[in-house]
Amino acid sequence: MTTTVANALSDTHLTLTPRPAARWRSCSPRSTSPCRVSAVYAVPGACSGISFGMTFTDQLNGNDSSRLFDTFKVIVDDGTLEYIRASRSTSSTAATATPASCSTTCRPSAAVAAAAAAARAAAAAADRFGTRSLATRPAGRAFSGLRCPEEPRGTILYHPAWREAAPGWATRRNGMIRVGSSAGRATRASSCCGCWPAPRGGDRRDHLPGEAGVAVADLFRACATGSTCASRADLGRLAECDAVFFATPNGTP
Amino acid sequence: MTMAPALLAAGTRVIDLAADFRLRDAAEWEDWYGVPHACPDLLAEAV
Repeated sequence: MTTTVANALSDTHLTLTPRPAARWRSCSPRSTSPCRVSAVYAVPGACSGISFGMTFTDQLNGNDSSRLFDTFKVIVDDGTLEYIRASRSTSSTAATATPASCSTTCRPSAAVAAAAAAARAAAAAADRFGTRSLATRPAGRAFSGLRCPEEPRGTILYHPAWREAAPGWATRRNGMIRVGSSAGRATRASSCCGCWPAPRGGDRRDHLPGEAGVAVADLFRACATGSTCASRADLGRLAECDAVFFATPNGTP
Repeated sequence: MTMAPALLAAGTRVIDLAADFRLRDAAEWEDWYGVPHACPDLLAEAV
């Protein structure tokens, strides 16, 4: 295994939340495995053309950056780091790297580099939903770009500014709000889900594969029952809501 | 996106988790997403 002094990363570049950290600790490589270095890498996929994975690799290269997390160090190659920086500048949440399963955690350094190159090519060519590479997409408002249909797991964050946008939330109906979501052509579902506790700044939920509408339904559990879901957007029903989430895949008109 | 004007007129708050209102300039939005924006006047109002 090659060992080289790497550039140090900070919170600005890379953070590790408790759930993937715990999962990663359970995936310690075998003592005989050539892959002993934890790495975040870019692969083609997701709306932007880029998604991120986490694996073990076999060596630390001169162009890698690293950060020590508790009991293990994570490295990022310079190609992947470019996309992490880009995604953090265009989204209100950090890029999400999904740890590989424990049985598939050996990814040689050459394969990591090849994946980053493939991701770069895919991002350049990506025009799914009319989007382009995160690295070149113009920065917009913070709430955009949160969800992609192929994203394996992500987080919707209740932003404190939402309360400012809907000043009646705190007091209306004893702190309850009526919410709805418009989830676009793919799910063809709309819902107006009745009263639900107003979100607090910083509240968050993970969600499983699916569109933003799925995550919104998870945030507001009453939506998950599907009791008021319709096969197409029901403007009259949505207009009864205090707030409606536009939860279409990023870039889908 | 097409529902936004009616929802706002009804007093409903719209929270965009997608890309409909992420850019402030309608021409730039059209350039990136390939179709004209359905309610360009609202782009300037979005916070």
